[in-house]
Amino acid sequence: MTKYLIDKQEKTNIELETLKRGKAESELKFLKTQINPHFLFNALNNIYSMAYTGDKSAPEKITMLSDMLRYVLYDCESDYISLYKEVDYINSFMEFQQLKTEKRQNIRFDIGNYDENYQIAPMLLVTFVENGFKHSKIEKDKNGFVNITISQTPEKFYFFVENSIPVEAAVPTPETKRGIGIENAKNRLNLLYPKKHKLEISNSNNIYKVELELYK
Amino acid sequence: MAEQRKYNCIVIDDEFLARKLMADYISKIPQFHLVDAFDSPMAAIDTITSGGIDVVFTDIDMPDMSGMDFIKNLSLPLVPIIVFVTAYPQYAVQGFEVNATEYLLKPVSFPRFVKAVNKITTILNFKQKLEGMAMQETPRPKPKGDQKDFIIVKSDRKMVKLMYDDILFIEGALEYVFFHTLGGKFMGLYSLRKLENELPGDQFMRIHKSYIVALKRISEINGNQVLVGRHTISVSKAMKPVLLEHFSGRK
Repeated sequence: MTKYLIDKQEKTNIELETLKRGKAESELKFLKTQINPHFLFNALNNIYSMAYTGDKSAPEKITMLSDMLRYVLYDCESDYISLYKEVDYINSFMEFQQLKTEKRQNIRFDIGNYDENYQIAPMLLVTFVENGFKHSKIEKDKNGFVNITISQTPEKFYFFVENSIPVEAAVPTPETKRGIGIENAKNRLNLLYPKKHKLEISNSNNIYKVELELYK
Repeated sequence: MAEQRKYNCIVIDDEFLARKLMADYISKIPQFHLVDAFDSPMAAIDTITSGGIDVVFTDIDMPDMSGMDFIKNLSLPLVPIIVFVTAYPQYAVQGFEVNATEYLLKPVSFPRFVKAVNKITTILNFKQKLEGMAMQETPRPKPKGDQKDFIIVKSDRKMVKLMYDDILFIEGALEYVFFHTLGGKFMGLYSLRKLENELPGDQFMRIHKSYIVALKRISEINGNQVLVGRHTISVSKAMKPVLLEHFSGRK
């Protein structure tokens, strides 16, 4: 009888352990998806090219990339971080985006008054920014643009991204392709800001808009 | 020694700095000439199909079209040397399946690039030599003594007996050849040179450095293109008069 109970206990323990591991694995997987290897290697290659051709801003780009990696690898382990870190990341991301083309792209980032130490879920805004760039194909579309706005009042945090959609892609990108990043962000918003957020996504006249409000 | 021709290269990459680096590397190789650099495969297609391009350096992951799909769908009588330049090691196997000559991982160092260049120039120099030989040699239309009417081809691990009557044409790729027959396509370890000697000269002709054709299967000659079954293949400048003579005198 005791043996039966011990065995049973053991079985439950094992089951519990598997569950825990499953959860940890899914969290890890989630974090991993935050580093886009395509972005990382292209950034490295661009810096390599700059260094090789004697571009003086290569060292600055290396520190920028290091800061981005540090942010993704370490800071993102917490559920919330200070807003200025997310803003810095977006700024750096846009710098690397500009390296893709010889001419400067039409990108705007308006930051009104904001509380640097406002606590926000890491990589939340970045997801929408990356999505905007990806679908605007701004590096190829001469008339393309990406506009980002952040503003804040004591009551609410406001974030807005709009991007052009290239004319030849008049057929909207299928939802499945738009996919995982946005879905992930929606899930995180529901988990971390239950009943404290409003997310509106619209797609008309070849402009894709994301509007996000977070409340206290 | 004949004058060394410069090899024409193009670069395809969606990133400006990546193109700049490749262009810089190519400019340092005396035998290479950079024709142009493009930000997408679609932009490069006209330049490639118009011919005369020897080497294509292409990225794989690009927003509009993957370099891999692009190369897979290239249908040219003479495919240029393909070099993939990418951040992803996982496409390498696929790369060799589409006969890529080299696979460079970003960031590519100059010494690594030079290593690739050596491999490319070896192949191109050899190709050029072959071309030279093909032009000098005139086909021998004398039939062989024996009445053999088939050839045995090693294809994978099988031995396949191909009747001369079934062969449409034979396409040469570096160290092996493709037999296009009525019954399908077979790969065999042969050289076109060896085949040229083995096949009866009254039935087969080397019309191009990459092709031996079954003369009776030619249904049309259009410029420097020859229609064989459903396939269009090229005839070299040197061989066209010989072929025309045969074609018109045959009936």
